Amino acid sequence: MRRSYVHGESATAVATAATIASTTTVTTAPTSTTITATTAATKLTAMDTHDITLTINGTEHDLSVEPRTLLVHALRDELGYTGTNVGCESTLCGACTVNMDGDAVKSCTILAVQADGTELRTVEGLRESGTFHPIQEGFQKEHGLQCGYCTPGMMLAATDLLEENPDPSDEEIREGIEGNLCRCTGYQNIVNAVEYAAEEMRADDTGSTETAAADGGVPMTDYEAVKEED
Amino acid sequence: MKPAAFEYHRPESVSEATDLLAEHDGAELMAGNQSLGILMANRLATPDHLVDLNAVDELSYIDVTDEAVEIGALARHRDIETSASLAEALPMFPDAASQIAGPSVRNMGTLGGSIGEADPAGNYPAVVTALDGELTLVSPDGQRTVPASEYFIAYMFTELEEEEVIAKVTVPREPFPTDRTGMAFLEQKPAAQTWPTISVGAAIRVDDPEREEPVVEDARVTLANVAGVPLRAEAAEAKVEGEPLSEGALEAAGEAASEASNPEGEMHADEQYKRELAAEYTRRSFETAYDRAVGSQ
Amino acid sequence: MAVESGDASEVEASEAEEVSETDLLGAPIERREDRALITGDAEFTDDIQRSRTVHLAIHRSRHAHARIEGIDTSAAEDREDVLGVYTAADVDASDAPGLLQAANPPHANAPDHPVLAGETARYQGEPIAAVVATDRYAARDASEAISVEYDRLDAAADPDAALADDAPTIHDDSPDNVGLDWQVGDEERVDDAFDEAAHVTELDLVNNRVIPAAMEPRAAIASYQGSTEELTVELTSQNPHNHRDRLAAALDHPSGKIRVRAPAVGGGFGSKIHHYAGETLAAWTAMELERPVKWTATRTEGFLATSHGRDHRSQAALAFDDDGEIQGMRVDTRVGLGGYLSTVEAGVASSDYAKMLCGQYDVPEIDAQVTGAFTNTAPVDAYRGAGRPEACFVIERLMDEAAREMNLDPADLRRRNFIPSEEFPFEVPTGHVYDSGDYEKSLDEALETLDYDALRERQAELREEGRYLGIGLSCYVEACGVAPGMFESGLVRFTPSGEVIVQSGTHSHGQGHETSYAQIAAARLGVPYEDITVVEGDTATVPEGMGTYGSRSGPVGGSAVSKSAEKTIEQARTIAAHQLEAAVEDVEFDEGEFSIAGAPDRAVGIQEVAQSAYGGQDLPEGAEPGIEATTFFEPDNYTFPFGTHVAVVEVDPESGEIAFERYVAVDDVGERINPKIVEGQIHGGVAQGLGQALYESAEYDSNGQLMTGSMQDYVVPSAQHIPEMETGATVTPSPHNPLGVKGAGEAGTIASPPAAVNAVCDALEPFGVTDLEMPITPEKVWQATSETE
Repeated sequence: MRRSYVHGESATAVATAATIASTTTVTTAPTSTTITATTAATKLTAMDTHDITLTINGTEHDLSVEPRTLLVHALRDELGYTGTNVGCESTLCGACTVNMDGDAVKSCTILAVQADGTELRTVEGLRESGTFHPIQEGFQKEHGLQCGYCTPGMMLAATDLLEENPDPSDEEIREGIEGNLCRCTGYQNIVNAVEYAAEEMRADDTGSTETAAADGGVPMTDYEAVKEED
Repeated sequence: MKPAAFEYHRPESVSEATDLLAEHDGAELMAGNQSLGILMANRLATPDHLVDLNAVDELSYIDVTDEAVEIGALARHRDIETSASLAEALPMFPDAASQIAGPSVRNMGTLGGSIGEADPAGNYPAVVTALDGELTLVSPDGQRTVPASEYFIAYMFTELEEEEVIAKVTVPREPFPTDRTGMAFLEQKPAAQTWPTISVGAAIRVDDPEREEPVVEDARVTLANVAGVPLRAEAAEAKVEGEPLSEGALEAAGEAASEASNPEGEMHADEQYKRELAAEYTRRSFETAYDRAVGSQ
Repeated sequence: MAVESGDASEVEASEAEEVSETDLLGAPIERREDRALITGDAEFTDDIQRSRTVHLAIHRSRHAHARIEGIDTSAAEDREDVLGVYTAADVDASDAPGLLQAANPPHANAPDHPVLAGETARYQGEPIAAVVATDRYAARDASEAISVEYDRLDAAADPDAALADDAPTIHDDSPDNVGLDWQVGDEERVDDAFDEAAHVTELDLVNNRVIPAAMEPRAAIASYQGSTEELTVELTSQNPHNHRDRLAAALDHPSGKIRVRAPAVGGGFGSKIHHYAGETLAAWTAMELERPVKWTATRTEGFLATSHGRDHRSQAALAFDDDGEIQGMRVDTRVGLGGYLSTVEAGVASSDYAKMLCGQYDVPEIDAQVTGAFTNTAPVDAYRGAGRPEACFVIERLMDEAAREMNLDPADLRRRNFIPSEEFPFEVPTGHVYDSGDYEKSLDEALETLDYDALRERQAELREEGRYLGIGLSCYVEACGVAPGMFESGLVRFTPSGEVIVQSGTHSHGQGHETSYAQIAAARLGVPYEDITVVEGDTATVPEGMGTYGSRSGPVGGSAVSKSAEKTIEQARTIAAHQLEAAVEDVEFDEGEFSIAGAPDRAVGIQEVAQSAYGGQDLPEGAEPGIEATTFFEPDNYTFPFGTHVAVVEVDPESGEIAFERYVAVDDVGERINPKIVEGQIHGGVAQGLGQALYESAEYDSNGQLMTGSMQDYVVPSAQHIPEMETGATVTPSPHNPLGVKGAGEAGTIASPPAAVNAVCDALEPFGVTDLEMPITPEKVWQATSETE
């Protein structure tokens, strides 16, 4: 019978040990343990490469990759789209989120070869002909970023959310970005940024210009009021 | 981490896929790659051959008829989560799907991948067990169907043979008339990116939701992550069947589910606590399912 | 001083162009650094591509404590794509000492900390060998091909295990595993206070070990030119000059030949202050190979070998008189140091911590003892708050428990003991002199926002229904901007075209210095905000500095910028006086213009003065043709920000689940350069503190194996975990710097853990629960409630 890809233990519990020496085997008893190597990792070295085509932010790229090359490394190392960041290499943090054929996905658990023929959008493609995307404006206006490392992935996750749900509640926004971790902001201003973008995008859709000032504008009067109280 | 090297195959049909499995000993199947990808990145899985199912379009569908629901193995969590026909027919599926990781993972992860992985904390294994689903497995020699109740054998150990591919899940609709059935899938988990501490899927069919106190005709409950396989708690089901749902029945059902559990302790949930959660989440999911059954007319 | 009511987030960020220069100090303008970060243009370390770059991977110890009997590197060396494989023997054979640098004051006992473990591995994940190969994947393949023969030793994974009689010895020079021994206060007088006390409250407290987990993993790319011996290291650093000096010592290379640059850095939280093996090995192998070497940690490597935080265990007690006034405090703390004493842990674990134990209260006597123990775990070092969160946790947990025991409202007990606002500056018995404060005001503000009395009534009503609401107060004070003894630089330079360049030795990795420093310079100089450029993070261009940590950039770095701006005004005033044909003392400066008192029509702008100065035209005799000033500002004391945070939670005793109902934060960080940025700092700090309180824990088993080696096991909070925060502010300026600012980076992390724990304990008061260990998981709540049922 087929076994699943990991024996007996919880995958995450052994992940740590495996990172350190996944190819070593414990051969003797607990107090004095000798480790010998079975270098499984070296059994396959130079693999055939595959020719693939990725369309990134509208530009077609032909490249040759090893099957194991992760999409995020192809984007960053092979093609120079370094705006997409790597945070955990295991789908858990969302820093590497890009849009593939219309859906937000984590580019650290997609093989480049698997993405052959797809249309990708990265943070570099959010700004069109010099104009910021409403989600970019939202992050800027609402102080939705601090160090900015999670921001590209966060914005790509948020735009996917807004495409499916143009008027999300706070709770829906929080659900929509729950796969993207931020260590700086406490999320509150990210939620505000996504709300800002949602409003802008709805306004764009209806051709209305009224809401443009709703959040972006700097009601100097509000600010002055606060200043005076200080 | 970066995966170890492997050879990559991209079949476009189920038969091509099973042929590749037959040809390459120890080949690993890849669908959404949201679990396998983590293991490979950490070199906990180092297959020599990887068979990528993503181009096998014939596995990617959700088909709801009056008689049955069929979901292809390559259906993404997100498709299941957002399917209006599933929400109508078997809402436990979208409920369970919506609670897997975050949206970007759900855009890739698949039903078949989850059932193939067979982690006892997985959501779909509990759902197909609760709903008495059937799995269709295909090999170069043909196909066979296996009831979910027989598929999960032991911890991450299943009926699936080395050369087999999961093609689809089938759930007959007859036990779940939409006008008097309610379903729930509830879980406690530390975060989107972690496995749940417990999940419970429940379905309740009442005799007549218009009655003042509708009687539970049929109850289903399956618990995830309290045993080596999805745990169908028939003793708990019996406690709520045959009468309107009462506090007493819920208490008894919770106790029965807790007794049926055989959990492994984990970092922030020891055995005893997981037994407590088994009771609590069984109560909650029956209550929610009943409310939905009664309110579903 | 004034109180700003309500939610600061209602204040809209504004474009800088819309605010006059003189109003820029205190304006919540948008951040200028955002544009690069929202477009993907920002350059993080791993983004840097140099031609001929090769990649470093590190083979790490599988065991927490083991003799290294042998290392077989032959399989790695045989690979065609490998350029070099290195072990401790290779470092020893080189000219580089290869030792990581750490502060080692008299109360500490820092052992040698080699970049690669030689005979003994002392924590799981300690580097044992380094490989350099042609790409990331090949380097990892080669690292996996190394095999190490270990003789496993018993491990001690926590400070109590390490201090036990039968504990294994981790360093031969410290046979009892004590790496740090520090005391403050007067034991005898405290004993007397406790003898005479009407009431004594005691708690055994654990401040759980946590992992900083900045979103960007640590990374470095090092380049070396053999002909000139110039080494350039670009790395994830909060303090490039410090890193330069540590690299110089570890490599025995002249610091003048080392350029350290910290480009965009994806969060630090303290963890990127320290001196580590990965970055040092990248530099050393680049020198060995004379090729650019890049190293980027994986997430699991980060969890195993980037410094952890906290790991305190304390027995703590407060003595009270009949009126509930504190008479004395006694604290005995054991700290897990990890396998080695890390860069600044000697101070973090001792004085940074224990000198703040009195909190906001008039504690007449204290006796605090800190014992640091080596443990077979990742080294512990400064993590956001660095000692002050641990101190705040001890005093604020004690105060809440004391109030419960004495049947007093927790707000009331705090009020009885606050240091009165009129008594500042106030010296506490640990030696700190608090600069300024009004603790009552921030408490009032927080309670008013909550409608505290109504909330207490609601709590009582809900309890009748079997629902458990908890209200947790945390009144914190912290010490920021270490001083005297630590300076920061600020340079202000006019260019010949009249624009302004500002430089500082601090480094921004989320804090918004580009914006805040430009606000300071624009406000001081009256020069348009857009004409000001801020540069940090490069030892080749920026004056000597100490970096960003301890909430010091605003009070120390910002003040240096402010002072330099003033100096350039004076330089320009001399030239302006000459041009205006007036005596220097008659020339006034306002809003960027020099004018003659009484003749306002005769004026010249400071930017024009700069242009003419560099042009050498119209200069007074003896004047230098340039306008530039540098200040190395060293304040004469710390600053002491404070505030009140309140968490309101509902706890389900059946499942143990905790839900936030509200979170109110009223912070007084002195003057605020940019309130929007300050609010963001508070938000993020609170989130990290709540993470520690409820979700995060670095767990080792008794063998020293890290059980939380990935984000699947170590819960970094998501948007679903963190409640909406209601922020408010009071403003009590610091007298110790020209801006009156106090620092805001750590406040939230310091205040929030006790607020959350106090709230949960308050909710569970009917169950007789008096303490719960962080992180308060549902399991712990359930265990506590079911035990007492």
